[in-house]
Amino acid sequence: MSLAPPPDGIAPVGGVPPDEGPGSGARPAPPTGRAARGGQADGAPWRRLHPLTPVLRAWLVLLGLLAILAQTTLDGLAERLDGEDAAADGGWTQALPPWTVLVAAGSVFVLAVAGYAVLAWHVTGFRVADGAVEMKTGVLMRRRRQMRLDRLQSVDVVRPLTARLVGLAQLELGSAGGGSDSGLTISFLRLAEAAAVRRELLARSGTRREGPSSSAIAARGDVMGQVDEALTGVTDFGDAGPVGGAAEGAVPLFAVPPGRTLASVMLSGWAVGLVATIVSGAVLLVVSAANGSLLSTVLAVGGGLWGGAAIIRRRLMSELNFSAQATADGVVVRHGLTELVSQTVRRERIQAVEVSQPLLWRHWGWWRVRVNVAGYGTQGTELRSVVLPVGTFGQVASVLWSLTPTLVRPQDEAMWRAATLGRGPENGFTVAPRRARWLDPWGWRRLGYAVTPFALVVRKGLWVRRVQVVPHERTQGISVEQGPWQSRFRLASVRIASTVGPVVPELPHLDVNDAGVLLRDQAIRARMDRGSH
Amino acid sequence: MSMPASEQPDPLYPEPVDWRPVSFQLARARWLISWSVLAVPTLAAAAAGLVFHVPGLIAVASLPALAGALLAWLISRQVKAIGYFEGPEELFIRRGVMFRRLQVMPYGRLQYLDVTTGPLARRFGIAALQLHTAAVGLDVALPGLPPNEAAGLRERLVARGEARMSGL
Repeated sequence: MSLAPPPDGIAPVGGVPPDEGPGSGARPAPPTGRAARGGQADGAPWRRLHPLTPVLRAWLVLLGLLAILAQTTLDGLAERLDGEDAAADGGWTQALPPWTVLVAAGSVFVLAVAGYAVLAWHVTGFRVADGAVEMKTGVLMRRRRQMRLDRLQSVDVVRPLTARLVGLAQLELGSAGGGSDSGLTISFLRLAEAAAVRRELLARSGTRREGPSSSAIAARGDVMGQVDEALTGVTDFGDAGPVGGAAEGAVPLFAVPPGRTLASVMLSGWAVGLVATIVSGAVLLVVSAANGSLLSTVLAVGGGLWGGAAIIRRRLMSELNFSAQATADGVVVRHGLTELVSQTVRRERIQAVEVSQPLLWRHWGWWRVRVNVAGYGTQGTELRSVVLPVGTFGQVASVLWSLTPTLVRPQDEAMWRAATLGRGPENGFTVAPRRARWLDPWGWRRLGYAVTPFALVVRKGLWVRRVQVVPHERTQGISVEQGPWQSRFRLASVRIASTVGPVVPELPHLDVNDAGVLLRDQAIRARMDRGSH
Repeated sequence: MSMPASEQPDPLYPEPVDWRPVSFQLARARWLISWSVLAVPTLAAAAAGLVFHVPGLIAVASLPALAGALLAWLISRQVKAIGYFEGPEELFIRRGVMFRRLQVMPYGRLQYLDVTTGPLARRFGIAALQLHTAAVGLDVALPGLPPNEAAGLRERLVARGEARMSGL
């Protein structure tokens, strides 16, 4: 009998929803969930997830089951038709049983999966109490997880395609520590509820720990005036409006037109690499076809293409529809094609900023802005850390004004021009000595750093221009390294430690004296800025 | 280089000059490890050369022995290069001879720390201190501390870390 994929093939997915973990100890679970909930008299009541959660979690499994059911039904029908031909000699009754058994087994399986999913939903809950978010999950293996609000670094509202279809969203909370397992995901909630919980979390964590820089900013009223000026300077709003409820008191900063996003990705290193792969692959194909070793070449080239295309596709899916709004405590960015993500990037959580420009963007004067935020561990960092996927320098300035106002004071303008476009020691830059060319033949021309009262500015990259900014109070530590060749040329590399993220502030091949001075002075500046708040 | 390098202060090891070295027991522990690894080919080649009367093999056996001597010298240099200095606000750690590194970790950035002693380290009476921060590229490790020094340093670091805790 033609049973298409056996149910066991997908059973693990349905049997154990992603977050639950394998239930090794088969403890009887049921009523304790309620007891535990009743027993927690001190805390706030547990809040449930949306009832559709199990359906969304298991939708792949359910789809698979539906497909199997449909197939077996069709098979059964076909058999029945065959059977009708054979009915004359009693074949009808013999054809029936396997089909019935299969359907029965299938429905039992579906019921079991559904039952487990409902049970899992039933025992899952979260609450915000005593300065912490707490979440409990697990039918067999119970798990409770607490995240202190003063450790909360980021709150993102994420809406995968399936969740969007039914108006739901999930909340992703990032905490300091940066490990891949240090966050919490609350899925799924109604969109409005998710937004409300996010507001609540942000408000509570904000009041608990008044960001030093935000108070400093409040004192500098003139800076906010600058924001307005920056905003009026931004003219090219795309037609992509905000997705899903504007934040309160938010000022729209920019929206990136889809065409520009597309062009920027096509002009980025990955896409150029992809084209190079295609071209060289075509050449290889012709050559190897002549040699008769076609298959392995096809496999190798195809593999490369597949990988490169996947990266580009992921980036496009994430960066299309990108828009940003300035709010009282930072910037809210919204982006995504199928999966909508709404991130609140808070001013006091910014650890480092990088403004970069790939070679092929130069002609259009486009820049990209990425940030290090402690909450986004290593996973998905690449896409979540983007606050401006592609934009003019005016847009860069407006984002920086909203995120780190102290870094773009009016008097910093010359420094910024030198940092983005310049080279050489003008405008307060300390640069790499000429002898660094032996170790870095191109990069040394632009390498340098400048110091503002609020941050260290690192300039580097001759082809891909990069400007990395680390606020002094965010200096996590400093290290200086010197290898044997550097020692011979009296050079040394300085690295400013930042949290996990795309921005790795590093100055390779400075003069060894400059490196020593930077190390000493930066330690002092970091100390002063930490102490002054 | 017009100026003799020895007359210039070393810019990589600036202000704090009062470096505290780690225990030389660390070098002895590392010697033991490297020698026990190198002893296998040495002894095997030497034994084979003696048994089968092949003088060439005995000469071959001297190669790992030479490597062992070289390693011993390198290890002692490396261990002597490790040092730390407890500044008023930061911990300074230096290491390396050919690849030199100086790390500066503000006390307030310390998230947690581990003190580890393996069986071998315990035999040699040393412990390793591993400091964890929220930053990447600042994995500060300090091997080869006598246990009571490690304990004392841990206490002081934790106390200072709590006093200067600045979040992120």
